[in-house]
Amino acid sequence: MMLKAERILKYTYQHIVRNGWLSFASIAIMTLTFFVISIFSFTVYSVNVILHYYESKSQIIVFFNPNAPISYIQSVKKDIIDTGKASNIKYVSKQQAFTNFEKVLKTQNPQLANAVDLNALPPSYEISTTSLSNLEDIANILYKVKAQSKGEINNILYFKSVVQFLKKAVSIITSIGIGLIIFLSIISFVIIIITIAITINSHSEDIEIMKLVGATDTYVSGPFIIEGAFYGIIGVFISSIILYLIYLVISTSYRKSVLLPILSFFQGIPIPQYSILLLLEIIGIEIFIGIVIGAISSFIAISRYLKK
Amino acid sequence: MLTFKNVSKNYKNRAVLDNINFNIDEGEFVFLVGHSGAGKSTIIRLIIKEENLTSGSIHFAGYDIEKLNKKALPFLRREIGVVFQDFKLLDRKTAFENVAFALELSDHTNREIKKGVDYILDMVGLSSKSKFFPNQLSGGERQRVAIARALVNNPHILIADEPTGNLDPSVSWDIIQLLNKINSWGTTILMATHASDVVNSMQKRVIALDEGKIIRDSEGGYNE
Ligand SMILES: Nc1ncnc2c1ncn2[C@@H]1O[C@H](COP(=O)(O)OP(=O)(O)OP(=O)(O)O)[C@@H](O)[C@H]1O
Ligand SMILES: [Mg+2]
Repeated sequence: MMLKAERILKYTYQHIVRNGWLSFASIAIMTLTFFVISIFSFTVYSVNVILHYYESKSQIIVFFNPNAPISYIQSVKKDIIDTGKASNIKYVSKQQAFTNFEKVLKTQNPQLANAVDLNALPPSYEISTTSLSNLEDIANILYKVKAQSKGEINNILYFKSVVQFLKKAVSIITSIGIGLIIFLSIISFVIIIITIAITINSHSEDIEIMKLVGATDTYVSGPFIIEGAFYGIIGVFISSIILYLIYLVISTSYRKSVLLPILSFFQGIPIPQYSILLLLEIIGIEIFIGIVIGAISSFIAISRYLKK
Repeated sequence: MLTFKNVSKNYKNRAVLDNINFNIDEGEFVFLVGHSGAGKSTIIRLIIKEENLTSGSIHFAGYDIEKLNKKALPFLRREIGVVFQDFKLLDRKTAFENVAFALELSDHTNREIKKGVDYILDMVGLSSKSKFFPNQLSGGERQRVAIARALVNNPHILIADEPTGNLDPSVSWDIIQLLNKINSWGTTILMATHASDVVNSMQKRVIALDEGKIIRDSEGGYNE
């Protein structure tokens, strides 16, 4: 048993080494596949993280009339809470509004800061939600409340078109990304099967001879199947390294905003952080997929020769 | 130990073997002769089940070849050493590895394999070329690798399809002497050949085929 395993591994090694060019092609295809799939996965993930950041930063601000009674302001808060869709409601009182205002003005125009009347500034609620659709729902409710109010609500600040644009962008980018990943996976799988089939085809005579002198199917196909799995592992390995290097380049230049000026547009958005654990998990899953795809491709390709 | 009973083989309705009957006993040395296309290689292909027969039955060492299932087939083949007419060497393996392959199949240790292969390569006179790949060997040398592979496993029966076809007379004579020696140690030998001089000088049992039929089965020489 051990001897057999040892020999199968020996033949796997011989196939790979003595078949240099085709081995190279198989590894290249595998690498490309996992590279492209990873790129798209990370892009979809990152876009989602970034857009989620915008989502969570999107707010509705309700400005009340400075003279609106506290009870009214609290009843509006209750209306908002009752929707169950707000993740955070922050009350900014007259004083706080003044402090904020003062802070800004003092640096720019100290004289004006002294002239501002505390009572002229409106108190407000800053409402955040976890998703844009919740934000929209709350906005609709607030518009209704405002329509019924007798001037207690001064203004509602809600950038509807921006919000809608973001919402669309999230769903379009996600579905295009997922569609592309599926499409690419299928194409790659087919290419991998074809590449490995070519490799095995070039061995078809050997397979026949081995069987004629008494080799079992396992003994003949073992090296090919391990070979396929090996290409999968190497492909994942190489693509992961390339991807990591790219990530390093982007994330450092992002912070410095030297290499890619476009990224400065996003300054302030946290670059999505991938924890080591998450990365290892992803690599682990990809290696598993690589082994399965490689082994299955080999198996499909070789089963043609074993039937006889 | 090898019995053909009413064996016929058709390739697409064309009869290549027609009602073949013979029995070869343990330890015999048998020549299979006949014109090109008479069906000699076909008989060999049927024995190792490279092809399936059309009717009749073949028995070898207790196996009913026709009823042999897919799992048992490799074990049958390991008990039969075949020198194929077209050698069937593995182009990606060296002479040593080609011969070693047959031993690896039956779970020998690496040391046993090294010893066995070196011995047999020495016997066929190829020790110095053990690291050569088939495309670096001459036709005769390749033929000797094929013979070595067939012999290395100590098969019950050695079947040789034109084992001297590419050899000059003196080497081919060496090969015949080698087969004769192996036969004297107890291995049954079935050898398909055109070479009437070899057959004549050996004075062994001769099965002669013509257009798929046995036209003679007796000891002695071979008259075209
Ligand atoms: N796969 C095949 N399909 C169709 N016909 C075949 C096939 N293999 C062999 N034949 C035919 O069977 C006949 C016998 O072939 P076989 O190889 O047994 O001859 P042989 O006696 O070994 O000849 P030689 O001395 O030239 O090797 C030939 O006429 C050949 O054309
Ligand atoms: Mg022949």
